[in-house]
Order: sequence, then C-alpha cells, then structure tokens
Amino acid sequence: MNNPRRPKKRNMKQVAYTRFMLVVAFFVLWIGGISVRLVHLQVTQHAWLRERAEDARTNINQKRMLRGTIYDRNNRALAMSQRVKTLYADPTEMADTNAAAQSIAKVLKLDAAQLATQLQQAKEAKKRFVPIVKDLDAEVSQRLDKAFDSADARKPDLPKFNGLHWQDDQKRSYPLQSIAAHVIGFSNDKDEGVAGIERSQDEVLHGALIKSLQERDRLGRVYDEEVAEREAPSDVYLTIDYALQYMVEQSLEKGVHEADAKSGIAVVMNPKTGEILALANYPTFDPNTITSKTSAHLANNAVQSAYSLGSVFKLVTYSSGLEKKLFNPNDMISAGNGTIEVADHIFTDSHGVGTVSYSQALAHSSNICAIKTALSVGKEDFAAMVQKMGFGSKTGIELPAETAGRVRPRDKWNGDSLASMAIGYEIDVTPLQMTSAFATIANNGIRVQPRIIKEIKPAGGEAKQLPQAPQTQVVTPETSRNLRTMLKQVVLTGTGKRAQLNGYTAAGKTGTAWKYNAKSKSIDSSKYMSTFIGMAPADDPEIVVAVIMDEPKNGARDGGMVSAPVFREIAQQLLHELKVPTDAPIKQERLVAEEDIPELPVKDTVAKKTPEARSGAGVPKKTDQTPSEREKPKDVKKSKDKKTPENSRLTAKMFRRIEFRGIDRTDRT
Amino acid sequence: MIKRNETQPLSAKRVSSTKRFTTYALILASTLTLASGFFFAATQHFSSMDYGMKNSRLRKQIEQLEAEKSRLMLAKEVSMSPNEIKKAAKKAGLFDPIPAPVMTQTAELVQTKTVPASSKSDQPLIVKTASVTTAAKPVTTAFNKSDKTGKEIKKTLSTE
Repeated sequence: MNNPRRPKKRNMKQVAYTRFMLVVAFFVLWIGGISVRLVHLQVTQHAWLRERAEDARTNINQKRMLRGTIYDRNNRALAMSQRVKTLYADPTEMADTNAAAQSIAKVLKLDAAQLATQLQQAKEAKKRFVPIVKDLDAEVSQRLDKAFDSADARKPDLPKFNGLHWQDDQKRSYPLQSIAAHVIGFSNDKDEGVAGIERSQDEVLHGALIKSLQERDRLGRVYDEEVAEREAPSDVYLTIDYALQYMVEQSLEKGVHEADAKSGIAVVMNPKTGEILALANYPTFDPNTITSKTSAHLANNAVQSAYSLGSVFKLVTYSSGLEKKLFNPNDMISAGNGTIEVADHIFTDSHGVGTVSYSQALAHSSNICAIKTALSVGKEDFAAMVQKMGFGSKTGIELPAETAGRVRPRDKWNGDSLASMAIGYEIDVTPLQMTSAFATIANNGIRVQPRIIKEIKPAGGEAKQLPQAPQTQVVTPETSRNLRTMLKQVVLTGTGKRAQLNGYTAAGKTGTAWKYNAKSKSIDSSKYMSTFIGMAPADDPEIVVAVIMDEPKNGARDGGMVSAPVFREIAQQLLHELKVPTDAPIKQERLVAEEDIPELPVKDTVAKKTPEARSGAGVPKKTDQTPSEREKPKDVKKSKDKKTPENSRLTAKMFRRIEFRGIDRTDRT
Repeated sequence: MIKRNETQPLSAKRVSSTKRFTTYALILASTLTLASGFFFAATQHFSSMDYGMKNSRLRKQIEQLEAEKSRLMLAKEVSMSPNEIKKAAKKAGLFDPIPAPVMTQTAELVQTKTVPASSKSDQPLIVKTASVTTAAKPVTTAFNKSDKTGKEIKKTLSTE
C-alpha cells in the first residue's frame, strides 16, 4: 500500500527534459526577440539607420571652383579670385551662447555683449548661420584654428570649438585697381558678374559648385573622399594692353582736368583687326571698393551712352559724296555767304570759308559745304551710308548693355533732317560706333567688328577659337584714301592742328556739339561735347584714337582745343610703344601754328524744340534765345536772331539754325 | 581456420594517427589561411584608410598651395601695378618727371609736302624712367591753355 506522505519518486528524465525545454524556450524567446528587433531595425527602420550611420561617418563638403581670371593681351592678370574663409557660428550647437560669445570675442577682439545678443537671437530663431569674420586667408584661419582649440569640443571639423565652423568662399581682386575698370567691370559676393567683361562673360568665368563626400573616422580624419568632377571655369584674355590703357587713362585724366570737363572718354582701336587696345572713361572707379560714391561713375559711356557728336559725323557725309563720285578732294565748293536755308531753317558757318576745295571745307569744318554735299548725295544714299557705317545698330563688342544709338527711320525725317545729320545733329551715336566708322576709313573701307576679347582659354586647356570678326566693305579703297587725305588736311591746316604728331603723320576730325538738355527740352548752349577722332600714321593707320570730352569749361572748349591735344599725347605715346616706324621728320623745334582756327561751336542756332516739336513737324521752333526767352515757344521761322549781350559776341559771325529733333543726349541702358 | 591479422590494429592505429595529423594539419592550415586572410584584409583595409587619409591630406595641401600660389600671383600683380610702382619710386626718393616739351610738326599743306627728310635726331620723346629729370625747361606752347587768359580766349573768339 502506498504511503500518501511519501513523496512521489521524481522522473529525473522528465525534470531534465522540462528544464532543458525551459532553457531552450528562454533562448528561443531571447533570440527570437533579438531577431524581431533586428528585422524591425533592418527592414522597417533601414533608411533612417543608414542615414544616421552615414551622418556619423560622412559629411558633404560644398565648394565653388575659383572664378576664371581675366588677363590683358600680354597675360597680365586684371581680375583674379582667391580662396578665403568665413568663420560662422551655428548657435543651435552652442549650449551656452554667452560663454561662447565671451570666448569668441576674446580671440577676435569683438564686442562680447553684442555678439552674445546676436547669437542668442539667432538661436531663438533657429538660425544656423551667423557669419562672424569674412574673407580670411589660409594663414589667418590656421592661426584661429589654434586659438579656438577647445578640449571639450566634440566635432570632427576645425575649429575645435562647439558651434564654430568654416565656410569656403572666394574673393575677387583687381590688382591694377582702377585701370580698365570700365572694361573689366566687377562681380558681387555671389560670384556673379555685375558689370563689364565680368558680366558679359559670366557664363565662362563662373565657377561650378563641386561637392565632395568625405568619410571620417572617429577622430574626424578623412579617410575617403569622393569628389564630383566638374569643368573648370575658363580664363578670358582681352585685347586690352594694360600699359597702353594706363597711358590713355593718364592722358585722359590730365585732359579732363585741364579742360575742367565733367567727364571724358577715350577709345583706341586697331583698325585692321578691330581690336580695342584701350578704352577709358574718366572719372573712373576702383572695382575693389565699390561704394555709393563711386557708383555714379560705373557706366561705360563709350558703349552705353549715345551722343550727337557734331562735326566728326561729317566723315559720313563726305564718304557718301566720295562714294557716289560726286567730287574729288581737290574740287572746289562754294560756301556762299556762309548761310544756307533748308526747309525754312538757316544753317550758318562759324566762319566764312568762301570758295574752297572739299579738303579745305572739311579742314575748316564748314557746315554749309557739308550740308551742300549731303543734299547732293540725297536722302536715300545718305541714309544707306549711315546704316552701312554701322550707326543705329550695336557694334557687337563683348561688353554688356551696349546701346545702338538713335538713328531716326528714314520715313520719319523732317525737311531739314538731312542737313542736320550732315553736320552731326539729329543722330545719336556711341563713341565706339564713331571710332569704328573712322577705323573703317583707316582700313581701306573695310569695317571690322570691334572686339575686346582675344581668346577664351579653359584652365589647363587649349584656347577656344573665337569666331572671326565679320568684315564688310563699306566704301571703296579709293574713297578711303581720298578721305584720309582730306582728314590729313584737318590736322595740317584745319581745326585739328593741335593733333599734329612729331615723327608721324596724323589724320582726323574735330567735333563740337551742344548738348541737349532733357529738362528744358532744348539745346544748352553752355554745354559742349568736344571730340577729336583721328588715326596715325595717316597713310597706313595703325591706331584710331577717339577722345571725347563732356562739358569742358576751360578755354575755347571746342574739339580742336580740348580733345585734339589729348589725342596727340595718346597717339604719340602709343605709336612709340607699339614701335610703329615714323613716317614724318622728327622736329626738335617748337612750332606755333600760324593761324589758329578753332572750331567754334554753333552758338544756339539749333532751334529749341518744344515736346510737341520733338514728335512732329509744323510746330513752333525757337532760335537763338536767352534762357528766359526759351521758356516761351514762338515761331521764329527765318527770323533775324535777337542776341543777348552775352551771346552777341559769339553769335555775330556764326549763327546758324539747326532743327534739333529732340533726340536725348544719352541713352543709358 | 580463422586467420587473424595481428598487425591490423597497429596499422589502423597508425592510419588513424596519420589521418588525425592530416586533419589537424588541414585545420591548422585553414586556420592559418583564414587568419592570414583576415590579417591581409585588415592590412589592406588599414592601408586603404591610411592612403585615403594621405590622399585627403595631399588634396588639402594642393588646395593650400594653390591658394598660396594665387595669393602670391595677386601680390606680384599688385606690386607691379603702376600705382604701387609710383609709391615705391616715391619712397625711394624719385619724383615725377617734369613733362618734356611737346614738339609739334610743322604745319604744311599736303600739296606742298615733299618727301620727309631723314630724322636729325633719334632722341626719344617719351621719358620712360621716373628717375630721369628733364634737362630742358618745359617750353610753353602757344596752345597751352594756362598761357591764354580768359580774356585772350574771348578775344580770339570774337575775331572769328
């Protein structure tokens, strides 16, 4: 019989089995739990974990390639970029902005309180970029890395200071400062060209953004780097020669100061290739320091402004006459009594020339002879010549914001438009267009498109072949030769005597035009545009030089007095520098020209037009008047001009009435 | 009669020890191969990391050298700019040359112009060195505006 108190005999196998199964179950659950967790992490949270792991190990570094360099024709750098660094703070990474500000301010010698406020505000606004110091070069940044070395900083990159980082930047520098500033232009902080070549060639010069994927170890050392390859920006080589440019700028500056002019423009061009050797504006600016003060002088008036340049435009008038074979330079033409009436308007010469050869008529800048020539040419042929010479259309030079000037369409000409245009009014041209027209005559009638870029070279590559500048035969070589002979007389015996060179022959034309006053809608007889455009050596010109002075106030103020001496100084230096062989004797003695024939400006003979008159014909026109008289429009057709005492002296011998069709003086874009 | 091979157990023992030895040797070899493989892979890995670090350092160095090159180029260009040369010349005690007298060509009509005579002097007109002082006193030309007073100019104008 079984004793109930006696414990049952345990089945040890069963116990062992149960225990074993418990252990197995435990392990199964344990491993199962781990497996489930692993599956969960690796399947459902795969992307997040991967991103986190990569974040801990890798970082993406963005850097912009250095902007391309601009060189002159002799490989002198005119604009170049440098690597600089910006130290910035990420306040969200700073535990205590006040303490951080104290430390940063101590190293950089900044105002700690101000910096602390700035960081605190940025932290509250969750801003992650607070620039502290900009444009630091490598040497300074390395010194700052050492200064900011903090032991408790847990970050892979330098500086070892929580919340402080470096950003790679670049800084544009213009080593020659104001030299060729209007040609080079400048770029902004974002590496975008704003003016000049910097703007027109921005696509070529602009550096691409390159990204590099860096993998770092736990000490922050980069052990693997993957850099995206991008094409490096190209360098631009200009036709400008910095030495010539400097000479031209110096001469222009001197000329502007001597004439007390508002501004001046000078263009030097190689007529055979169309290359611009120098292009200067004064006042100028330093592209390294653009301020609100200098911003008034940023416009490149040689291409961005259009002017009525007066008598220099007679080149086109005589070109069209010679091209039609209406006369030869030695043929005679009569200026009559010094006045001519065209469409009820009287045009007058500043000084009577009587009956002279065409050469002498141009030399003495006779308006009557020019108008007679234009009338004999006819409107159609004259308009065609204006167009062929390139007026009214852009020259195509590689500079931004070039204006085409203003040439009124043929069907909108008034009765006296032809006469006005024959002497350089009613038409607005850019200094470059006018230089190009003279270059056409210098180049035996072949117009070569002006260009300022010699070549574009990719970094470490071969220069890109630029398309050849278009060439057009505008006038025959014979016409060009005759015109050069006539222009030579201007310098030898005419209004351009002050342009005579030593050792070289020169040819050119003076121009003096009154400026249009946009406010009063009339010609301002107190403001001139004084011009001289010439070429040398006269028979086979190597250079064409244009000098334009805006509002000269000293002296006679006409082109022959103000601009011709600047031309002489520029041409004399440049021909010597370019090693052009002399073609005339070098004189040591000083010579005073026997007779000065300054090209007197037309004294307020241009009718002051009312706004209505500007838009059409049959409107009252004003003539020679005092400013007070100008206010009241009245019909003064064929009137004998009343002269104020102030004007009477000037207008005694030279009144002429030119209908100015109200084309604005400048056309800035 | 049952023939017993007395030597078989001994031989079997021998065989088994050889097998065992072979097995151990194979295991050892495999272990060694595996270990050396791991070792080799580790060496490769660390070497690759080392090269990566060196590469990164070299890249950085190239950047620094390029930055330095461009800094030096800029410094060279700045120092060679006309304004800096002027400053340096002034520091060295040189001064702006007095403008040389301007020579003008005799005005002559084209019709009367003959073949130009050969140059009598090869003296250059342009004084290029800042340190050269002009020997001659500047000649005041008739065209010089400073000589012409406003009155004279007005007179000239009124007579034309």
